[in-house]
Amino acid sequence: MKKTAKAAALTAAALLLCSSCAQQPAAKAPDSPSALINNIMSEAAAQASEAAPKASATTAAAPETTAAAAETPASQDGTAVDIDLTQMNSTMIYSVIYDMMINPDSYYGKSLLVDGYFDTMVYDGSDTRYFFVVVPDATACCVQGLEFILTGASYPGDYPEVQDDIRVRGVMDCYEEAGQMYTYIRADSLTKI
Amino acid sequence: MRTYRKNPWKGRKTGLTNEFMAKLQLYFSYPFVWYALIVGLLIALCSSLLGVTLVLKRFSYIGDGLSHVAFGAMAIAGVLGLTNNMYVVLPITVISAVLLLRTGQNAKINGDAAIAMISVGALAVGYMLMNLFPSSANISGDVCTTLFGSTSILTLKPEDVILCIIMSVIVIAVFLLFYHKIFAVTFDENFIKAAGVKAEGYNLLIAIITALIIVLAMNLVGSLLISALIIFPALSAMRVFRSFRSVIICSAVISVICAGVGIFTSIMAGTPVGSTIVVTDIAVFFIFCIVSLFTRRKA
Repeated sequence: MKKTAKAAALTAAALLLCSSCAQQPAAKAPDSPSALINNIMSEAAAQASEAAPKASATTAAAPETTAAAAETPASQDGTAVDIDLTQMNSTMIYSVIYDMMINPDSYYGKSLLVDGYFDTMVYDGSDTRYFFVVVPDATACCVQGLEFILTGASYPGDYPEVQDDIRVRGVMDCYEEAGQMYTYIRADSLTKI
Repeated sequence: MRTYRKNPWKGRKTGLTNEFMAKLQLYFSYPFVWYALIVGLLIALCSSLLGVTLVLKRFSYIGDGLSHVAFGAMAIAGVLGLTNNMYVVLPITVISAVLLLRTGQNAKINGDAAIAMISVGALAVGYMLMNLFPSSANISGDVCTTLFGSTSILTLKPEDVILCIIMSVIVIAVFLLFYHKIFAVTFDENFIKAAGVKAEGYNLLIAIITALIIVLAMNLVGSLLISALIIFPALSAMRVFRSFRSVIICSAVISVICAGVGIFTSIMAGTPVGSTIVVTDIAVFFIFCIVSLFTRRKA
């Protein structure tokens, strides 16, 4: 039994060293109000913030050509967009949005069309209202939200009710707040569907 | 008189095919889809190699037990606020595997009872910790993702893929290098002990590999479905084949094909990845059961 415990401890130590080789970058929970949605994907949002370029606020980084965005398919309403999430299934939509949080650089400057439900919130200690398009995953147990800013719109008049199904069209962009970079959709249009 | 013939489905079929191909091309242009496919196939291969040994040693349920231990360990990592939960999950799972597989025969608590005790205990402790010290606002979402895998296989980063490749290579290399010894330990442990071979050492090796595969496979199918990945390919192969080698080869082929088909289907049809792979494994198991009816008659 002693030998077993000793062997187990040694193995565990070796594996611990092995796993540290593939260490992931440290992520901290977002404490800023415009963190994605309900802190559900807090880790992803933090990683996105860390990975984001130190660019000035609301300045889109130069779009990198990724295989994902290489094509510009026509969206359901006939207008071409770089990333049309309305034509993907729920598993892929969830995965693409997660990828946007992890690798935001690859998506800045890309036009985007996304369906989801509307949500809005004002975080504690802030007087700014934030707007989200929320997308559930295939099993509907997890949701991810993308923040969007609709220029020239005023709340509540220009926005739908919370939980209403919406379609947002815009361009992926980022802004800086409290020293952190946040990814959002610079929305051209917001449609209730 | 000229005959008028027209197939109304012709154009439509072409349209559907083009649409399918366009969607396929679009989805596979994302790197994370390729990561999922690579990791999924490697995990399926490794789990099937070990599955035969575990099934024959009557340790089919150890995968389930260890995955629950890994779930509990993940909860502990969450409480400690570790960004890379592998620091906690891997050592705890390995230690549990070693204790379960090595003390199973001689301990006061028998193998199956020990597995059940650790399995349920770790699940309960893990869930309690997640509730007492929530790392996010959506506890049910966290639990669901951990138990069923959700879409986590499609959210892998390049580092995860590299780690999986390294671990898979280690598992396959160990299995190939010690194939004869693992064979002997699987079928007659007392005999090889009498022959002067240190069976405990090889049991320890199997325990460590099992734990490694469990931790890797949690990303693919989640805690609750890992056993299926280990058991079904082995059982399917055993329906038709009889020798250890042929069962292992067939099991590996079945597992890799099922994982590939499952991942592909879930990506294209939007179904949950883990359960789609397991359903494919179940379907193949029934196909092999039917095939075995005919092959046994002939024999």
